[in-house]
Amino acid sequence: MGLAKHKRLLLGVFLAFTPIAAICQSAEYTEIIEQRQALYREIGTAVKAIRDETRKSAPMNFVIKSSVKRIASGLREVQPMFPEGSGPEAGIETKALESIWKNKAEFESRYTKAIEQADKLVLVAKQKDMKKTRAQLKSLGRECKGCHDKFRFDE
Amino acid sequence: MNQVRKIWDAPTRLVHWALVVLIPFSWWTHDDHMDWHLMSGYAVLGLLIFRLLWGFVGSTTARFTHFVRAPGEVLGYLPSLLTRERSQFTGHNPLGGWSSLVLLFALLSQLVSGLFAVDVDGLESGPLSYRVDFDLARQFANWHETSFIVLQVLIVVHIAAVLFYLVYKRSNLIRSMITGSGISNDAQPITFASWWRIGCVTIVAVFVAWWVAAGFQL
Repeated sequence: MGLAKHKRLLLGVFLAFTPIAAICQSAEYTEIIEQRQALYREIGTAVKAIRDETRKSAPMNFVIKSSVKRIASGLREVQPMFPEGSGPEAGIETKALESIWKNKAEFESRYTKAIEQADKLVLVAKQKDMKKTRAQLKSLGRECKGCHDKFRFDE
Repeated sequence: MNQVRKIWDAPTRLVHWALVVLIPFSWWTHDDHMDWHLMSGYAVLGLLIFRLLWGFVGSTTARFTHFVRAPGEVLGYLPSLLTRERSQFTGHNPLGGWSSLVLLFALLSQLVSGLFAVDVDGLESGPLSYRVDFDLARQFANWHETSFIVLQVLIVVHIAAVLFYLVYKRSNLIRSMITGSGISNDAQPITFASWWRIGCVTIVAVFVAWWVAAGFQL
């Protein structure tokens, strides 16, 4: 009788901790998923800022300068933030598709290409030629889109 | 006394059918042809500005004062929907008038939200999005999407109503909107706007649409 009670207690403790363990596990991914989403938002903000400035009659170069740098550094920060398990299976809202981990080599090579284009944008922007800046932003945009089409959930 | 007479002027009909072409075109181009989507949007903007102005200075049947009626009149009109008799109104009936107004408003919401919207990557944006930050522009984009669902529903209701009038009430509203003529059983006078008035309003509409498309920067 006493033993059975003991077992029941153990079972109770075990059951109580199971969801906590699961929550802890997903919390680990929650953080990284939220971090990369925040970084992408920053990159999006920087892309928009460049587009906005290049269209103005009197573009503010300091905005473009800081934005192009933010894109290049932001992409570098996000690239390593796709650990196995942080995809749809994490159970947290993310647009990252499973195909990222199925084709990791392609994902990485596309990412590297995007970073190359972002670095080129930093150089081009230094010339303060809005036409060239816009054209290079477009080239970067094509890399972004190519990757998104393959590895991001399309609503 | 039923008689065939001219009801709708050319500009009103032209705006209507141009929208019939451009709204599906905008829908089709929104995914992969953003340049065309924007051009189409500017054209719709010009058409809407024209139509709104036309609601104040256009021909009789195009004017808001002519077709926007009191709620009591709309309620009074409802029972006649069940009868197969022809409508007693020249131009929009009281319910149709409100339906036009709601459609115009939905289109306005669609346009305004699109002007300020930006896509999730910051790569594509409306001409006025530079006036708001990324997060707000994203909210405008969400509004643009929701607004389109509402617009689609309203268009389906509009088409269903036109078919109801065609089949049940034996009143061909489609032909009237093409030819401008329809059967009317009242002698209410209709004044049609002159060509110079059409020209003036067109110039204003094109100029304002162009100014907005240029992001208020001339």
